[in-house]
Amino acid sequence: MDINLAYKISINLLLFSTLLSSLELIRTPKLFLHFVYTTISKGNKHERWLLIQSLKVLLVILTVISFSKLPVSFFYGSFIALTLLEFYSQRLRKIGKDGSDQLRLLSLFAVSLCFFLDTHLSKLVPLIFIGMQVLLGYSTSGLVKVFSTYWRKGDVLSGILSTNGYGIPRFAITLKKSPVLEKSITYSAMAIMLLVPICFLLPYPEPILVSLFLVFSFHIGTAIIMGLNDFLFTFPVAFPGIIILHSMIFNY
Amino acid sequence: MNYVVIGILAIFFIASIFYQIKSLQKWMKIFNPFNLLPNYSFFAPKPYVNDYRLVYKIVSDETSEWLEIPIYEKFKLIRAIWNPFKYYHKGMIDTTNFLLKEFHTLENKSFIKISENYLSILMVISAYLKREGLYDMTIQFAILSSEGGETIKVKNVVFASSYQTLNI
Repeated sequence: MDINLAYKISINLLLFSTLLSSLELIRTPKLFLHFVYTTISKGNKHERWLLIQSLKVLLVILTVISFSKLPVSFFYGSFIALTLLEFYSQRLRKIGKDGSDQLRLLSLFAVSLCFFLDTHLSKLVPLIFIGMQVLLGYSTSGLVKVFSTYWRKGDVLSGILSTNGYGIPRFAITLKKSPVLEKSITYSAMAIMLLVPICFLLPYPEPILVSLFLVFSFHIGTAIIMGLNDFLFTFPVAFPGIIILHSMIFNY
Repeated sequence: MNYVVIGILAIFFIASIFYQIKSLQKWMKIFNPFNLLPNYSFFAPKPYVNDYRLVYKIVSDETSEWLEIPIYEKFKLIRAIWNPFKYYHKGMIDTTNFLLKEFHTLENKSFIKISENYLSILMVISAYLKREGLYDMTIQFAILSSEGGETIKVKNVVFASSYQTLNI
């Protein structure tokens, strides 16, 4: 895969993920703002919150335009400003954050830091860094589940999906009635995550591509069933980096 | 400059590997002031299998029953691409977990009233009551863990506040 193309895909996905998250945070109702932006200040901070998230949206739009149409210094400037604002926004949000928020911030940070590298490295290094982070992510997530007695029993999904927060209670009832189906879905989820680092160790391009396709399908599934839509747009930011790193290691 | 940037990212990656080990996380938190080190265990080892529900009762009104602050939305397919609700669902889980941790740590349990998480919940209830046109009253709130979505089954009362006067 061409490094310029890989960089373009990753940056655009990262910006889309940031845009989506900012728009969603704008929609946080005033009533429940304290579950996102905890403050003991008596005055309501809703307006301030809207301002921060709207600024992020504006900066994403500016970065998209400068990435494709303006000189590179404009892109660097708006991207670094976006990264700093995301840092600030996540610092205010002490609670209610998930894994995709962490990966988004980490990716913004890595890309911004690599602007200080020589031109030939400024695209390659962040791609490799984000790729390695997500390889670590899938390995950890898969292994922790394999070693967890709750997950190994194979009946954990009906419990998670029975919640209003992360599931479809009706689907959970169907799963509970069919333990074989529940076990096979639970073990598949664990296997798909571990498949990515395992296939990464094989010296052929096909297995890693298939494993990334499978894990992307898994993210589509969790977006629909569990509402984890931001994972669907944040984790694929790393896929071009994983492919590039694999091709560099095995020289194809 | 190349060596400095690549060095920072390399150290950061090594730190990320160690941060996945739960026993090291507490110790490493001092090196993580910006929360950049990621925790990738996602729904493991023990996944959430309950919802937390926030209920309140107006103590000053003898006829009042326990009522729920509606947080949860019914499932809609659109949440595969658009789901702002997930932020305050997770916020409710985090607030409750932090509150319980603080409550169990405190020797004098009444100090929980000055916890940021306690006040945060109180402010949500206060804003909700204000929206419903209810002002100045004494309430009690509780956090329940429940399972099921169609038919809700209350499993536990995980936290119950003492009486609390609200001057809205």
